[in-house]
Amino acid sequence: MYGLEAISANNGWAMAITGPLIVMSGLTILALIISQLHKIVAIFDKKPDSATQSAVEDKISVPKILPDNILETADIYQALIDKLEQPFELKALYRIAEQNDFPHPILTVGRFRVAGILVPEGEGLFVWKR
Amino acid sequence: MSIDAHILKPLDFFADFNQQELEECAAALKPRTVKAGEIIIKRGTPALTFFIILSGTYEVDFEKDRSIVLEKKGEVMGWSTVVHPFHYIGTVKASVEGEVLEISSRDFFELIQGDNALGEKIMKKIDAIASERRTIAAGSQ
Amino acid sequence: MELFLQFISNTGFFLAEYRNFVMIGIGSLFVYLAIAKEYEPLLLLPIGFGVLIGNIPFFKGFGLGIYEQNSVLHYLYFGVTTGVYPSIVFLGLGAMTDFSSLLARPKLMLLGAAAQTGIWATLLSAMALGFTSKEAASIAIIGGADGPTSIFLTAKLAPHLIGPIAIAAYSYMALIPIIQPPIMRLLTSREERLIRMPEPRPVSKKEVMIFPVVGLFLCCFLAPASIPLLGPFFFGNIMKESGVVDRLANTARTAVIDTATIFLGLTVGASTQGDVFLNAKSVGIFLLGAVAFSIATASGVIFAKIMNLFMKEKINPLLGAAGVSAVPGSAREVHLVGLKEDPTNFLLMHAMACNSSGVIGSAVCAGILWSFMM
Repeated sequence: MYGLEAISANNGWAMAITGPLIVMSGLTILALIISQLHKIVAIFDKKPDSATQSAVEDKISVPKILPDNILETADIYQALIDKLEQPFELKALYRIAEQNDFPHPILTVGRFRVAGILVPEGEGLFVWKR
Repeated sequence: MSIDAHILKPLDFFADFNQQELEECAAALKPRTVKAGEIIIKRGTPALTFFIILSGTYEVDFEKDRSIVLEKKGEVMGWSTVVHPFHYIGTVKASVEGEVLEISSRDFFELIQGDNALGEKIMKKIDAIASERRTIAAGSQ
Repeated sequence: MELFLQFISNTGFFLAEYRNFVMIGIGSLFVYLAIAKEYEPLLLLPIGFGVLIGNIPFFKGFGLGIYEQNSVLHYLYFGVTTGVYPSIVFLGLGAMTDFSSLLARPKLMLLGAAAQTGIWATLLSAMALGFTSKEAASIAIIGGADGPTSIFLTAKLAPHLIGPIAIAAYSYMALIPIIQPPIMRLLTSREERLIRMPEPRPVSKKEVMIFPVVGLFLCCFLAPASIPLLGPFFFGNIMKESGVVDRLANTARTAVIDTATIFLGLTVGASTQGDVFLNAKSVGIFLLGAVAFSIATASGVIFAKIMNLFMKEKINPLLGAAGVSAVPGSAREVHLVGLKEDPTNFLLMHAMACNSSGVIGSAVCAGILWSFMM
């Protein structure tokens, strides 16, 4: 038996409709549950994500091209540093810089490190010496 | 054979990695001794491995006779493994005997599979280095 | 003299026929591709060498061959026929997978579900070509792009097809860099390929720990037949994420998965003998495998485009191609195609999310197919 006849004889159409529906429904429900997971966890933790929250609310204005002078650039970055508790991880600084649309944060942070403005404290943590 | 995390700690590339991230990277990186005169990367070939310098001096020759010398511990070579254009844009030759850490693209993607955030962190760092080197290769500096 | 002649008549040279040599050629090709070209070496090398071992002619009845009771190979093959090796591989996979990208962007899970359409389309195609329903289901699961899942389901439903199906599945996984990119480019515009995904939100440790428990209950209550795969998978994942059994998690994703992979590949290869492999059915399986992969890739991409019709924050439709279960190969291809359009557009993390979802989706599909055939 071949062709459409074979599919019908083997119950193929029913399987091909039911199967994807089951998979899609199952994974949709899973996606819905995990989309709420962080809220459920937050209720139990009772700790709002304040660093991200305040960064989004108080967006800092920044020029499209940062000055060549590293000290002037550091003055612009001061507003970001004030939002972080020292010592901090560089990924927190990158995140807050990207949220405020700072250009090329990784290159700029590299310049701060070379200039001794951003100094490592060990265990991946840094302090702002300005 | 993998290495200890403490070897990575002093390297610039890993300066902002915490202990767990260093250990994950250390498990994936393999040390390799490079002989003087050995060519470890050939321009134009598919980029399948990237390297981090532990010791030695390496001449990188780009097209149109542009070249740079890399000798600082922690410098990255072969970044095209993970970012565009995915083939090596320079030939790297060891001027003296040295040691490098290497990771294949397959192992790198497995590292990302196990820690997405770490993988993204490494890729962004590599991209920053790549932008700089592409500029040199194009002769803008 | 008689003894010597008897000895000669028992050697492989005397017993060999053309099918042995053809299969040895195929096995050699796999070994070459694995070593020289590095095409999925972790699987192709054991499978290729297994084909060489399994197709050396021998005198039947002495407990030498993989299908003979009490042979060493037969005991090792037990892990394939019972589904033990795929379960162990899934344990290791769970222990090496980070779900934080998926948790940060749960919508991407739907792309993993959509990409499994390839399985169902191939099921119909295989039935239409005259395969039985169980054979068709085993062939269809190739569309999930997951080797262990394919072997697991085939061992349950159509064990006589393990060899060609396993080889087809792993061959197409190795060919992902050739199969997927043209389909991705054909189905998307340049503008769509340039869509940037927003930065994923930070995901807490508690979320990544709760996810395997939630995933286990939801998926296995829905399709209990997927318990042998998803049970170990989520167990491996919670071992990784809990942080209290790092030694066990590390062993699971290194020594344990590697051991299972070695014996899985070797025995699957050894079971692939000329009389099973060199026939029209195998050709059909290989053709259907290509269909399965292509439809899976296309359906993921198309579903992403459909989602974009209803969403304010668009998804890059290339991510749909990463909904196939080939981790991390298809995520890498999506990333590479995205970077070729825009060297600063990093899709890898998002593609990994779709990839992980595809693993779950294909295992659920295997469970559903098995329960349909019961």
